[in-house]
Amino acid sequence: MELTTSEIGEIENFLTAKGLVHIDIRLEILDHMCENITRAMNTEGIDFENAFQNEIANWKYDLSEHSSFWLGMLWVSPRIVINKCVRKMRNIYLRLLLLIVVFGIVFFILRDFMTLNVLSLIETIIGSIYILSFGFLLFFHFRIKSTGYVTSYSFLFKINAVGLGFVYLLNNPLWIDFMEIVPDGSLSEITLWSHILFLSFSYYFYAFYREHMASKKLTIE
Amino acid sequence: MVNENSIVQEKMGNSKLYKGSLNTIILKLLDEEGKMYGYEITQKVKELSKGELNITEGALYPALHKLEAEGLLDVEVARVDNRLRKYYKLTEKGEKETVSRLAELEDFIRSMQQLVNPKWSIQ
Repeated sequence: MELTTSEIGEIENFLTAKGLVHIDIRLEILDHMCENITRAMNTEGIDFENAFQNEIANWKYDLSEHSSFWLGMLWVSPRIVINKCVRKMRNIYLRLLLLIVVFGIVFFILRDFMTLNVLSLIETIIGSIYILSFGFLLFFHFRIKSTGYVTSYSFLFKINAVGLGFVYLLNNPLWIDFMEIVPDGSLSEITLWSHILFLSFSYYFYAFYREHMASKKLTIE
Repeated sequence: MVNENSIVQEKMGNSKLYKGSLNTIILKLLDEEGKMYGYEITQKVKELSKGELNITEGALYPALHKLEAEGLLDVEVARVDNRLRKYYKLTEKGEKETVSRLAELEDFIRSMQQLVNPKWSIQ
């Protein structure tokens, strides 16, 4: 016995009410629930409503509302979505930390070449990359919006873009004196490293965008 | 309440010994079956282990997504029974990784057997 379109619609409405709109996860959960319900109806002889209620109980924990320190406590989604995003973000933070360490070592080795002229040039490059990154951030945002679907990647893009969008706009050393890497003739290493950290994250905006666009195959009709 | 407790016990009972081998189990199944979807994997594992091992949904899908992100699995989507279904299959990298992880697991089992029962060996 197969589930009817209206029975599948009922399960879809339940997932939507639970906030599971991220298609990269929702598609599989829907299929899993449908399979379990069909099996219960066929082997245990119970009707759809009872089988559906049992399945809701099975998913109670994974679909409960959840938030995490790693993403910001204000961002609430089903636990299964938050957990996937947390795993991704932990990985990104670890990589960024390694990058900062590597950058620190390279900078230490090249410190004798870092004259005021070179540092000024680096500052101009950083300012230009901020402008470019902000432009790409807007472009990715509108492209993601235009797809009409939500994924865990678009969720990660959104929660990070809110904060870093302002950083890209307001931290630019080309127009904010406080963010200059040579504010009074000497290098401010902390400011330089913060620029490297923020700008490196723009790669992950691209990665989230790419993964989101690749999820289009999950929407085929 | 009874239902909730039984789910938690089931998860805890399985997680301790099998958690570290979940990815290898998935890779091995896909190596044998060609392509499979999530629910099918849980049922196959239950069948092969005669009900002893029950992979929970909360553990299965994150593991599949991680393997996919690592480039070990490829994905295919097909319409089945009025809904979409996501099938997983091994990539070339995944096939090589399966061989290596199975060898690692067999070594581990052999070492454990020698520790637990030194007189008995699988050889």
